[in-house]
Amino acid sequence: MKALRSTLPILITSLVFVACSREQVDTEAPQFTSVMINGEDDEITVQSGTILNMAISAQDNENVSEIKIDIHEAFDGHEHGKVQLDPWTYVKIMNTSGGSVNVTDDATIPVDVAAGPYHAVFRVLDDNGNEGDYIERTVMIENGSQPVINVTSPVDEDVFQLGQTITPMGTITDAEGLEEVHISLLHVEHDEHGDDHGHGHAHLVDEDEVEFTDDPTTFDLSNLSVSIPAGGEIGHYLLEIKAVDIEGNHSFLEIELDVE
Amino acid sequence: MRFLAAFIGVLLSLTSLAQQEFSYRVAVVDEDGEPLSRIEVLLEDDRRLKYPSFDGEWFIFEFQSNKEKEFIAVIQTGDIDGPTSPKTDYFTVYPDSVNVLKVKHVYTVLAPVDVSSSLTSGNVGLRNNGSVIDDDHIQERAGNSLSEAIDVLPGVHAVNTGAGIAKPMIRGYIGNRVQVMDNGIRQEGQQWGMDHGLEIDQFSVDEVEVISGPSAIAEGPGMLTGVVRINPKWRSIERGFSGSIQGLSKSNNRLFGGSGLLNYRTQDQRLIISARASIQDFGDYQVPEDQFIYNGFILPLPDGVLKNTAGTEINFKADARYMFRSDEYLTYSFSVFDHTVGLFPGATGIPRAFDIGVIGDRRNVATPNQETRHYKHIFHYHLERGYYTHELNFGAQQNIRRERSQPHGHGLTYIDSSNTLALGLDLTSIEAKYTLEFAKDNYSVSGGFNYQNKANRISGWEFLIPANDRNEFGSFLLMKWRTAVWNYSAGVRIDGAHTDVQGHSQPYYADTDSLVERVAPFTLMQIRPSVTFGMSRQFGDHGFNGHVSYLNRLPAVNELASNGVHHGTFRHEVGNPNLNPESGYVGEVNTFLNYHPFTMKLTGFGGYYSNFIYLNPSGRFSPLPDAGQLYQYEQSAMVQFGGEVSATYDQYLGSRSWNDYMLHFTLIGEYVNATSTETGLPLPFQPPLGLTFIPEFESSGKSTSWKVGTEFQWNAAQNRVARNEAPTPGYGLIHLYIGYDDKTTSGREWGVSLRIQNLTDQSYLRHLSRYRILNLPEQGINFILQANYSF
Repeated sequence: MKALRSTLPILITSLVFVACSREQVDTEAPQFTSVMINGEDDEITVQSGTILNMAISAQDNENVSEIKIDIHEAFDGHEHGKVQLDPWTYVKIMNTSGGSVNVTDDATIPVDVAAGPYHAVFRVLDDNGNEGDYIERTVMIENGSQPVINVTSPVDEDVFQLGQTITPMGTITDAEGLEEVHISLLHVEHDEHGDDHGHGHAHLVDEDEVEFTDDPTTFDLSNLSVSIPAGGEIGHYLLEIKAVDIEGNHSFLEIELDVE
Repeated sequence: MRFLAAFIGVLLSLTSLAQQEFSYRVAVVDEDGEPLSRIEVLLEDDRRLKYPSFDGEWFIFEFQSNKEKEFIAVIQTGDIDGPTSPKTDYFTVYPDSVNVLKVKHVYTVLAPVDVSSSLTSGNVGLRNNGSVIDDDHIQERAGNSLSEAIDVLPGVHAVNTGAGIAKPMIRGYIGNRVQVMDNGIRQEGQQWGMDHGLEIDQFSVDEVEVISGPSAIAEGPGMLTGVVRINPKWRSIERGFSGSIQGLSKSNNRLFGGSGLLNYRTQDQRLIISARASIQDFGDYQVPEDQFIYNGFILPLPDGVLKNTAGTEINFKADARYMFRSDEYLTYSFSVFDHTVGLFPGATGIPRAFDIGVIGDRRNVATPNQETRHYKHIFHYHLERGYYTHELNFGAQQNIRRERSQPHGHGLTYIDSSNTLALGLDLTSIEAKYTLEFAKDNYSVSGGFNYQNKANRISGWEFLIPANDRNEFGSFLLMKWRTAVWNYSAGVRIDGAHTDVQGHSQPYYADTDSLVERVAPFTLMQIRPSVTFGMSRQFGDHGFNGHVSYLNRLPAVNELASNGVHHGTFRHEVGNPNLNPESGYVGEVNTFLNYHPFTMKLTGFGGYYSNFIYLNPSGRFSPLPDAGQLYQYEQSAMVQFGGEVSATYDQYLGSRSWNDYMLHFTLIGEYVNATSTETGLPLPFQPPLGLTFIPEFESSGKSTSWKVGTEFQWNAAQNRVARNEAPTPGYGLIHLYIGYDDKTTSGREWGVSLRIQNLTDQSYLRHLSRYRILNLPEQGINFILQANYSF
């Protein structure tokens, strides 16, 4: 009882203190105003061994404290076993100060990294730990020894009918030997929420793939095909061709099609 | 003979103005057949009978009435010491022979003061405090897990990760702050992890209680603010073979499940053996949207299906009890829980269209996924001698957890892609507990001690917490006494923990040659007391109880020593070995009002913690790749308060051909508010203001009964959010249920029920869902069909 009598006043005063000390709490997160890679604000293709120049601007109602750049591979997780060439990873944290900041960073892409798509993720923080929305950019890295995809048909804006089968004509060549070829057909659905990011989403309709055990240096694409479902939707479609070689280099080719 | 008497009665009433009196005899028992004495009976003419007489077998209410049959209300007022929220059941009774009426015990909802029912009788288990929802209703809810099944209780929630994983939350507390006691032993898994479920088969649970306050101090450390207690039910098992079969099917995730129970009790009644096996297999679940927006990207959900959320649960449990005498018995229980469930790919990294856009087989479990297997052995010895009751519990558990995902998805390219073991956690624990109670006249004193050893070992290429060993020991003293009108409980306990954390180093990302120390080894010894005082009182039909407590919770290993990225939140969580035990003052008041047939329970609670442990965003980025901000375990003052209301109203509609028709109304409301006084910001993951209204129509006859009801569930928007936590809009849901039960004369019983969850296929975000951060809506409309047969 004595303990209670001594602690109760503390309890009550602290409650009163809590009630009275309601000051303005900063919960507003910082925002990127501009993120440019090699002067572009969209997907870019670069060669290994070159420099990636990143120019970033961000703002906060109080103080932008840190910006983090995180670059890692965006191969789709279908690798089989350990790859020979390591993908590139790059992490950089930049300390900043001020309500509106502009920083740049030059990252050298090593010569011997696996070719393929990479994601550059940009994150921003303020002093109080408010974290802004991140920005993600795709960077295609080529190293000169990635598979070469050569398609003669179809070409961009070719028109197909519902129910039709698409057999691409062309070849894929790779000096070291191919590991896997994958084609997929996607239906592009339009973004109802404003097109400013261009992120209409694509829905996989059909796919076909081949995995090699004999590391061929050339592959005839007509061995693969995808079908447009007869009951499918008309509109914009994407034919994606992906090739992976035994070193772990990835190549992509996208062809835009119309289905009527 | 009865016909003759009735005939004469009819004749007499016709021929004479003097009214014929019929003699009625009524005995009330609980579902285990045990006679109940604290019962009141209300007759049609508002006569109220209070004191039954004991005839050696039953507590009998005897009364006269001029009616040929009488419709009575049986009101459970609770035991002699305690204020309870009365529960009313209705029966039609007939004259002459003894009417034996079975009434159902109901669940305790956060009743703070144990009012020591064992003071006057051997009848332990006062469960009637402020109950609203009985076990039938909980079973009919058929949640995706035990945690979700009890989600309807006021103040109790489930924090879910998709449709297969959930853990209980009590008044906004979760994880290390909510213990689950199974048969007197603490359930030990990796309960600190937000996306870790509770490894208990929901079919195997006979009875769940949620208690707080003084009686919880005897259970174990850190339980004053609420503990979930799972109680076995032995008394109802009859001689010979008995058992039950249950079947369960859900449309939303194409779940099929079933459970079978077989009991055997020897003719001399001493030995009881029972075994249960359960299985559930489910596919990917569906939400009422075909896309969601994450960080500005629109991502597809083909046909509303969430890829890779399928799973399987297989459980087995065996129990044996040997009764040396009715007050001395030994119990052994073994169970194994095995659960494999997929995780939505977006939950362990940035969600990508190529990961989630193609569903494929709706029933397969690909990566990422988690497998858990939990083995549990519990021994329990109970002995009553004179004024003394001894309880000895011993438990041994093994919790094996495997979280799997693609190493290259996490950028760990030096690891072979076939090695999907991201995180392996193996926890072995043993616990021993001894309690001695002395109960005499109007007081009781109990005391005891417990010891627990936990060894947590880790594997996998991901790192979150280091391997560690922990020894916990505690001792308590609890005293209860009664004056003419008041009941008091006062308790003290002291807890200590010795933690031995092994250090951990691992290569820095792709650089295999580097070794970075993530956690330095350390040992820590902490000892702290907790004190509690509670009182209760009955005012006629109404009652009141409350408690104030000073508590200390010793920090858990994840709070002291974690250092890794929680994929899905991208948070890098860092423990703090310098944390002090979390101490606070908490209090709670309950008021029970009973204006028959209306009852109401009002609860208010509050607490002040001087150094509440929480994860605080540091304002600095993690140096690890693919990781966001560093979140550090810190301590600051915190104030919490809230309240709950639950009310019931029963309306008798009439009786026709042996059937009684009733309307029941239940209203449940709750609010909780927790604010860090240092930042002035609310704590994360707090339930929003919620209201549930349940009208139900019931028809009960001599052998068959059926009911139909609706749950209107409304949740306010949660705008009181922590830093970097998104507010969640409010929503309303409608659930519909209908059930039929048939008792055959040989004591067999069968029933079917259909429940339609989210009738309007409402698309809503749940603040307490782990998929909330992805902006993923919850399950859409779900038809749940259940059938059971018991013999």
